Amino acid sequence: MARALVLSDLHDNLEAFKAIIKNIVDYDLLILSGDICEFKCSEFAVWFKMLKVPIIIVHGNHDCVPCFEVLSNKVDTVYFLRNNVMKLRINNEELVIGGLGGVFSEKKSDMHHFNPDDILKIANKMLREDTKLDILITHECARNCSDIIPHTRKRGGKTELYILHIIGRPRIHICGHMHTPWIERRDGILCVNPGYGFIGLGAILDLDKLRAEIFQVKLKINLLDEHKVIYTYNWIRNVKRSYFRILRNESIKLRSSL
Amino acid sequence: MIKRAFKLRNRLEFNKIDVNLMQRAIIDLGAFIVLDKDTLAVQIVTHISGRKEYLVLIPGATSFIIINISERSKEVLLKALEKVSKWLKLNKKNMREIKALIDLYLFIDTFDKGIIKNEVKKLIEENIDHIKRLDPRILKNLLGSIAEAAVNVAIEDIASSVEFPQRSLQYFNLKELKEIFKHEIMVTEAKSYALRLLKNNLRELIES
Repeated sequence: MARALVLSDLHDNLEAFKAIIKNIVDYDLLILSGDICEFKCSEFAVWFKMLKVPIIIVHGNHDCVPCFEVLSNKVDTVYFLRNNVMKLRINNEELVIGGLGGVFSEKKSDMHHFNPDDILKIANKMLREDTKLDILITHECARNCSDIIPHTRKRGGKTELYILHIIGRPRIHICGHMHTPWIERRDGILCVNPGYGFIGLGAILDLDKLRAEIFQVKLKINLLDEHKVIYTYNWIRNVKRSYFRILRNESIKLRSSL
Repeated sequence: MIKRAFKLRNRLEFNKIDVNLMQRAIIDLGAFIVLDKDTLAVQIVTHISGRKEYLVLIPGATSFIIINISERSKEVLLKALEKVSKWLKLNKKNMREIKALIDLYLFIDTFDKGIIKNEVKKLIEENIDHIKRLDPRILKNLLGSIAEAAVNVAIEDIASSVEFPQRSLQYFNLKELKEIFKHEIMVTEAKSYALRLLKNNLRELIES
């Protein structure tokens, strides 16, 4: 029976990640659906290396993408899925997994955004190879597929992602971004959003029975203080040149530490 | 036949679709309608010699179309589309765009890998003497990029010399057509072919 631990939106909170992997132990695969680490990836990498299970990463809009590239090149168990499809053998069963990172933008296509042309690239790749997906991982959610906006409780997913449902026919669609943990079934697809990992939320997914469960690990840290750290970092994002330089430096630091 | 998806410039918006009504209108043509209730995507299907061929229209802020047709099914599917267009609220612009994309799809399908491979081979043969002059250590590290560049130039050359279908030209400008063409032509295989060719030609140099 294959089980996956699914986390998203950790937003550099290493303490939350450590608490989760210390408390949840019985799983064969770790899936990270974006917004994991931006300025602390080298600290996260130490823990990624210690885990003995395959780790699949799809990036969000608050992630050090160059760091994930370094990680997937240097650590055998880490797979960074950037607008691509991969096959992975878990417990003698082959899983076909598709991943599209970042958030949707009508025009922008960069480290943290994908546009309709990026969707088309992966859609046409799947059409060419007649790929049927077991798991689709995106940071952005599809409309009506675990896309609940906190507070308003309205739906905030994107209809543009439907084409990947129609072509890939995934059994499971994992997303993040919304911070609201939510599990629902939609047209035969199990939609899973593990929620705000920053506060210890996550999901355990049974890949055989197609069932998921949300959990929350109690954290011993002051979340308000951690939040302040994130928002202090966030202003850097407004100065693009500094921001990208910091990410690049972070990846160089990571490369030398691995 | 390779199935392909295209982005539509003109938005599709479907509301309250009556599948039965549409089905009755096109049954005589041997075409069928399949509605995906969750995404409101509409598939128009026909069978040619036991093969399923179809068009899928996916509505949304950015709308898409998936095409899997042949010259033989084109007529049936286009007639079926015309017949159901009033229920799907497809206007003239939508219809023109879909027809232009279908023509482009069938045109791209006539380009087999052989044409690109021949162009790549020609380019590499023309330039091999220049490439050989590079320092072997640099050359070893450059091979992948040279292969990629050769394929890009080959595709650019082909796209500049082909005659695109009239209906596609009426709808898209040449630059847009070249872009779609470059996106859709299978490049991965051509790249590994170019790399193989380069390695064969430069074996002695690299191994020394």
